[in-house]
Amino acid sequence: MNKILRVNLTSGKITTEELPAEVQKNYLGGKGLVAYYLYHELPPQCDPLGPENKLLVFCGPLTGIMPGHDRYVIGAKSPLTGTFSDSYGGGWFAATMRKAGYIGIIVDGSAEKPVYLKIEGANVTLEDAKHLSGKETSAVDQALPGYRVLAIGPAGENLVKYACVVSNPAKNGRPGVAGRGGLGAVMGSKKLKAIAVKYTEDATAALAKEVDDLKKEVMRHLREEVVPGMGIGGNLGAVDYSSKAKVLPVNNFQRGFTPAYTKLNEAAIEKVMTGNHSCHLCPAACGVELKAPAGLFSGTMTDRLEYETVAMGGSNCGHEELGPIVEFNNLCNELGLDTISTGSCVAFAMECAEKGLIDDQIRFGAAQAQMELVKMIASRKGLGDLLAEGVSAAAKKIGAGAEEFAVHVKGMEIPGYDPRGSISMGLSYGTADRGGCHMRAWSIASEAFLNVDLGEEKVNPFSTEGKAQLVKDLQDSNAALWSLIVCDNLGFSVDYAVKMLDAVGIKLDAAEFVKIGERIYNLAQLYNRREGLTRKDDYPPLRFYQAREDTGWSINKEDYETMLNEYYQLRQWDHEGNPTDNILKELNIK
Amino acid sequence: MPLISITINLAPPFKAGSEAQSFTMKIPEAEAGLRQLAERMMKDRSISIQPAVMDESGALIASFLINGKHAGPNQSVQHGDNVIIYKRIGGG
Repeated sequence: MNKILRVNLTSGKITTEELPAEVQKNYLGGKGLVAYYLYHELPPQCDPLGPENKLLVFCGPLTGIMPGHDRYVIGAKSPLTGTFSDSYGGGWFAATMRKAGYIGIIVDGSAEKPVYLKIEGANVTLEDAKHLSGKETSAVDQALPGYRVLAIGPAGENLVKYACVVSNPAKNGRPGVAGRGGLGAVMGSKKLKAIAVKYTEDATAALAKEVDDLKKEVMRHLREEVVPGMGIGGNLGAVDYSSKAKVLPVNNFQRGFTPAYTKLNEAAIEKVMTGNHSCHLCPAACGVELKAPAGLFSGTMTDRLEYETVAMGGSNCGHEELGPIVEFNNLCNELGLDTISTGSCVAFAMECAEKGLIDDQIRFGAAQAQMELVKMIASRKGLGDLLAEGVSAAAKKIGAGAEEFAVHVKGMEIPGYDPRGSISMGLSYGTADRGGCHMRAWSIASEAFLNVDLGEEKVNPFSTEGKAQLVKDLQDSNAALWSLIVCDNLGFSVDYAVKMLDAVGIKLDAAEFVKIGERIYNLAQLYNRREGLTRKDDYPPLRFYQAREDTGWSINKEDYETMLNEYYQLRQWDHEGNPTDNILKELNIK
Repeated sequence: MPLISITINLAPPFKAGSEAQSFTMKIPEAEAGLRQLAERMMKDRSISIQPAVMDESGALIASFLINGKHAGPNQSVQHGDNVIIYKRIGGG
């Protein structure tokens, strides 16, 4: 079950190898293996959409065995940022892949015509995908009955720089989306429409039996102590938190609050919820299915709505009701677009149009125009073709000051938390290894959101003191946790992860486990520096230095510099953000 | 053994049995690490914290801030400190 499947799409050659024990010891799985293989196997400066880039799919050492770990990571050099990129999805694909005997798939080269990869245990073939070309993601899933499927939509085939990869959109169970970084476009560039997997014999069965007692205990912990605190599921509760902390993006981050948030929050969604779906071996069932209430797109159903989609495709585009968000979610999932980047690009276009920088009638709150624009992005038509390159590239082309409100870091559009109300999130975005990402260090939950929970300001969200340490520690522990790959929503602690690893024969203490995370984060930084990124890429977007129109909040550049310097020092990186020999030696990175 | 006094603030989902989300604890100065604090809270029936901040095997479930600043599990508290106990999740 720790085999790596290698597929060369140019030659059609398919081989398997065992994951080297030394590599697993130092990098565990998931994110760690993405960092390891990207750094060691990609030629420097390779074209992200060329055959030399590799598409990696990994799960972790607990996948298929322990509850809360049935997630996969897709990795590649990102066409959106040119950086290391890893993006995660839940559902049933990862567990099926592991049960089929694989901890990873490494795809390189490029096929001449569209293909899909069919895995039936040890029997692996490349199949003609002509009948799948141009199809939306759920149609691809439906066309491959009996398999768990990773698929791209038309956006991936059209090389939209933030095309995503979708798993399980049409079959029983929770769908998953590896949304960020444009890894769907990497699949598209290789003419790989889908990966379909099923197992013939369960390769995890013996180990799963061996650890059955702990598995039951973990399940009990989740059912009794975690799920009851999760609300209706997933991260929809964040709408209330962001609103109360005044960091919910509104109209391309011009404001951080809308009184209409009560129409978009968990309570509003619960009223129109029609079901929920779970990942393999998970009692949380956080894939919320709902029907749009009265209003625009009334009665439209959607599945697996998440906070980021509500924020970036909803309030950030000027919407004050659920219907347009439901429709936006469906379109993005079917066409294969990241909802965060797409929402940001649409909001950027709305602001450009309102400022007269582009000749278009789209405006904040214009739902039908937004849906048309999403389709144009996926098909690369008209304004959609410009926006398909990402907000950074689009702003450069438009010029006339558009870069002042293109909200991205390293070319990746940032998600739904305004860092002007949470300074640590500014550093978290600035130093995230894959560009403008909140997941590397979701520090707002240890800062502004805690004040919401406690009902008073116990943590100063504007003070830089201690924030560099917070961000570094979260990045390191998350890098280790995502090597397993744990579900973010379940909140497994480092200690708990170590306990579960011990059961499958990986013996580490908590400090050693986090050290692996630090090794992974440094390797990703080495990769990014090798690709030419520098200190200037580690800053929040220009918009956040401007005073917000509702609160007057802004990030002070000098404060940010101080925090960034402290962060580099804690990491033992030089002034430009290059890992020093000292830290590389300490982490045993060769 | 000298005792020190610290204030505990519980953030959801953690709750004390008394429903008081903020209370004072006196602990021996020599046992003032955050791990030891969590262990003590689990053993102290008068606090009756739910869900568990540490499981039976000694694995910490909770995260901590001391005086509004992020604190690792091996950090120590001092007399007069304000400790926030919360559950960290990875992303939203």
